[in-house]
Order: sequence, then C-alpha cells, then structure tokens
Amino acid sequence: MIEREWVRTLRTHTGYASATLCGVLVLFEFVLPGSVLPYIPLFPLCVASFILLVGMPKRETRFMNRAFLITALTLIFAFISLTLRDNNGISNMILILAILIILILAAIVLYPRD
Amino acid sequence: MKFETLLKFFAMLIPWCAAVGIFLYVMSIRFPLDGTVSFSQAFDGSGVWFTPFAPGERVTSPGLQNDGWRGQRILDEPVYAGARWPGAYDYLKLELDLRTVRQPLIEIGLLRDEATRAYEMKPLWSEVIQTDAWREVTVENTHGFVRADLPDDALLETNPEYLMTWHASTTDTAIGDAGDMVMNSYEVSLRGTHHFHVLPINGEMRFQFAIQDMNRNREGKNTAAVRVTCDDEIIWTSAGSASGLHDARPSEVFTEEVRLTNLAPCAYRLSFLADNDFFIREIGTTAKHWVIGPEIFFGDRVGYRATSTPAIAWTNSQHAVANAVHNEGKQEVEFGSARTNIRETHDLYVLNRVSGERDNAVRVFAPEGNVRLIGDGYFALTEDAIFFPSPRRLTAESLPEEEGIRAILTPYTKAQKLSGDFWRTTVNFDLLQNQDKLQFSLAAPGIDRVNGAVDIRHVDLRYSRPALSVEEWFSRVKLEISLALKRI
Repeated sequence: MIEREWVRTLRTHTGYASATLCGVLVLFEFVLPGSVLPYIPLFPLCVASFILLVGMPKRETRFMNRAFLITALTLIFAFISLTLRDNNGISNMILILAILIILILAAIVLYPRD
Repeated sequence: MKFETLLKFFAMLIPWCAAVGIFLYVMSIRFPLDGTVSFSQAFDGSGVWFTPFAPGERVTSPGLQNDGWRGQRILDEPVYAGARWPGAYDYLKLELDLRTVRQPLIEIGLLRDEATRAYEMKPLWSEVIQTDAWREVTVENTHGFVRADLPDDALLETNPEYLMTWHASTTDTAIGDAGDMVMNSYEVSLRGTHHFHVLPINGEMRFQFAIQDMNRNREGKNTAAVRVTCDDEIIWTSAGSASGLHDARPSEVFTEEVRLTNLAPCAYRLSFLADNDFFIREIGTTAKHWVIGPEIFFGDRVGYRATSTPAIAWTNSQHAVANAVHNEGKQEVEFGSARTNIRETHDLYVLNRVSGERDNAVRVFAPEGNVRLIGDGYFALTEDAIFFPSPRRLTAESLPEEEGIRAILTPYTKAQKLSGDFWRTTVNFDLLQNQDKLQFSLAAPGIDRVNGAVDIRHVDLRYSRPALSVEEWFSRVKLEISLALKRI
C-alpha cells in the first residue's frame, strides 16, 4: 500500500518534533531538576521519538535523520542518567552502559538502508 | 491538489504546535504568572512531590495500614523526608493531615546546612495548645497563645517566670537587683563546665571561684576559662591554667575572681568553661539572684576533703534527668516529693515533679553528692537565689497551665480538626535560594518512651513568591540559570 503524502509528512514531523521536545525537556530537567519529570513522562516520549526516527521512510533518512537518531540516543542515555542521578555506584554505571549498547545495536538493526 | 497541499501543511504544523504547547505548559508550571504553585498528594507512596518518611525501621510502609486507613505511621524519631524543588520560590507552606497516638508534641525541620546536618525546626503539633485553655493571638507583630482567661496583651509579658517559648526567640531579660553588696560563700564541688546566670546588684557583679585541677599532667586541656555574656554579646573573658607537666598530683586550690562594674540591666551569663578534671570547690558572690543551669554536676571531694558532702540545690525545673559516673553516686535522689533511685552508673534517671508541686521551686537532694543533673530550668544553691533568666521552652512534658504560664510565644498556628481524629497542621518555611533540594526531619520527642505513633494521610505543599515585575522576572531567570550552572 502506497503511503499518502500527508501521512508521511505527519510521521516525519512528529518524529522530529518529539525528538526536539525530548531534547529540550531533558535539558530543562537536567538544569532545573523537578521541572519536567513530575508532569511529563519522559521515558515513553524518548522511546516514541526513537521508534519514529529509526522507522522513517527512506526519502527522509539522509543527513537530518542520522542527526536526529544520534540525538535521540543521546537523549535516552541522558534521561536514564537523570533518573539514576541520585544513586551512586558502579552497578548503575554498568546498567547505563548496557542500556546504551542495546540501544546502539537496535539502531544499527533498525536503521533504514538505501 | 490544493486540498492535499493544505493537508500536508497541517500534518507538518500539528506535531510542532503540540511540541510547543507541551513546552509552554512546562514553562507555565516552572514560572507561574501569579508566583504560586500548589501540590496535593495522599501520603500512600503514590505522590512525587513529597517522599514518604524514612528510615524504614521507624515507620510503616506507606499505603493501606493494618487498621484500614491509607497513609504512613511513624513509630520512632527522628524520621526524614524530602520534597521536590519546583523552582526558585521564596516561601513554602506545608500542610500535613496527621493523627497522634499518645504523642503530645511534634516538630518539623528543614535542612539548612548539609555539611553540619543543621535543621531549622518549627512547631507542627501541640496537644496542650490545641485545648480551649489557650487562645491564639497576635499583638504588635508578636504571635503566640495566651491563657484563655487573660487579655490579649498578656502575650507581651516580660517576666520569664510566666512566659514559655516554642521556637520563638526573645531577648535577655533587662533586669537587675539593687541593695547592699554582701559577699556570701558556698562550699560546693562542681565539676567541669557550668553556666551561671546572674543579676548584677547596682550594676555590679562579683564572683570568686576557688578552683582545683585534679589531673595536672594531661596535655592540651588543662586550661579553664571564664566568659561573661549578655544577649550573646561577650562582656568579659579570662583564662587560667594549673599546668604541671611532670606533676600528676592535684593542684593547689587557686582563686579566679570576676568583678565587673557599670553593667546594664541584664540576666548575665557567666560561663565557667573547663573539662571534668577541674573542680569549683567554693563560690563567693555578692549576687542575690543567681542560678546554674541547665546542667549542674556535683563532683566528689577526693583530694580536697576527707568526707563527701550531700548535693543540695533548689530548682525551677519541671523535669530533670540524673546520672552518676562513679559507684559512690548510686543513691536515691529527691526532686521535691519525687524520688528516683540511681542503680547503675552512666544510666539516665528521669525526675518529674509530682502533681501539686509545679508552680514553685523544689529542693533537689542527693545524700552522697556525685551526681549530674540536667533540668529544663535552672538550679540554685539557696532557695531565695532562684529566678528565671529566660523563658522556659515548651516540651513534650510541659503542662504550661499548671506551671503558672500566662503566655506562649510561638509561630505555631492551631491545627484544624478533620474527620477521623485527624488534624490539618500547617507550618511555613522561608526558602533559601541557594538550596537545591528540600529535606525535612520530623521530631516527636519521647515517642519511644510512651510507645506513641504519628499517622500521616495527606500532604499539601504551596510554594510561592511575590508577583514579579519584568525586571524581577529577568533577575529570577538569571538566578535559575546561575543555580543550573552550579548544578552542572
């Protein structure tokens, strides 16, 4: 089934907008703790952005998409760091690194190829 | 075709509008136009704005409790909780819906200095003040409670004997004595640091301490100092030593004299600062009103006299604790008509006045001496010397009406009655702008002794700051940015 032009535009811009929003909100939460997390569930937003970005149509997967993909990964990493900020210890660091590696592998698998 | 272009335009516009809307929503919470933000949460562990109290061994798990209500029960103290910091606000109004079980007094504090773990404590609940016997009044910017049968201006009472405080400050009493200067001597054996509170006579204070150091070859601590203060302002200081590096024998008794003239009316605090190897063997003074406290330590007379002497003092304390550090101190201690038997050294034994003896000084008597007493009032070596240099503090054991109190100075406001034995208590804190998180400590003095509990089912937080002009808004944003930079 051929995807309609406006649906593709909606998907693309939803991905870009949610990734941008994620970035701004994570930055906001990082510099002003307690500003975002109690109101906006950042984790589902980050995951949604990630899925939208890696699943983008081929026509959109050029420079911008790569940039947003990397941004989304960084954001998810930052978010996890944020949620674990009050805990110290090597086990949390290992957990963060493990999640990051899984996300990178997922990105490589899901990344659309020309 | 035109319709398709319009549709594509809206498909692009909608996600970005939604993103901008969400961002503006977050901004509006962080920087509310009216400067006020409120959060309300049940105390069942589901809220994000105020964490449940910890540590776990002093509280129950938040949620459904055994007797069917939802919340958290506090069984021991102190317990700690935290609140999220929603922005650079100036004030916090904290409301807790609580119920007490055999717990007459609760205080709550906000952490002010993380390095020293210093909390600014505030009154949260007092069973005594909640009764109809006390009326809440504010007179000339002073807030507190007066006995129900007294007029409002009783709150301006200045005689510390009739005044009680609960986390309110007062200045030292500007009083003095007049009359003849007659030197009286008292043979005692007071051990270590003692604080004397003295009213000067005709603006003059005279004290002579006969001091003996019982362990001269210890290093670093064999110096005794005397300091006189009024309202925390240092008036006079002096220091002396009985050092003997190669001589372990007790020193000769030597005299330290304090003589001050042209003193303004004030209840002066004369502090004798020394370790427990220093003994005051004799006190001579011309003062008529002078007390010691809140601690008095009757030591032994080994190395000074062959016999021990009983410890005799008068006190305006309602409650005291006694302990002994030597076996010779095991004895029955009298506190008015109340008695306690010190059976073990280093254990604390509680002394409470018996009913009917609450409004005057009572005699404290320990036949063997060798006892340390800490009271909620002061001690004097003669009955007519006793006075209150400063108001008493409201404690969990206080019965202000029976103690002859007329007014209580406190920022406490009466709690509102709610359903199911619960009360809505309110406490206000000024927020410091360099704080990054809010940590609270809840104190329920004596909760373990009475096997009491404090149940909390709901919390309301209201953060506020004044409405801002454009310049103030920018300075507020600058403040937030500087806080953010510090955090990074």
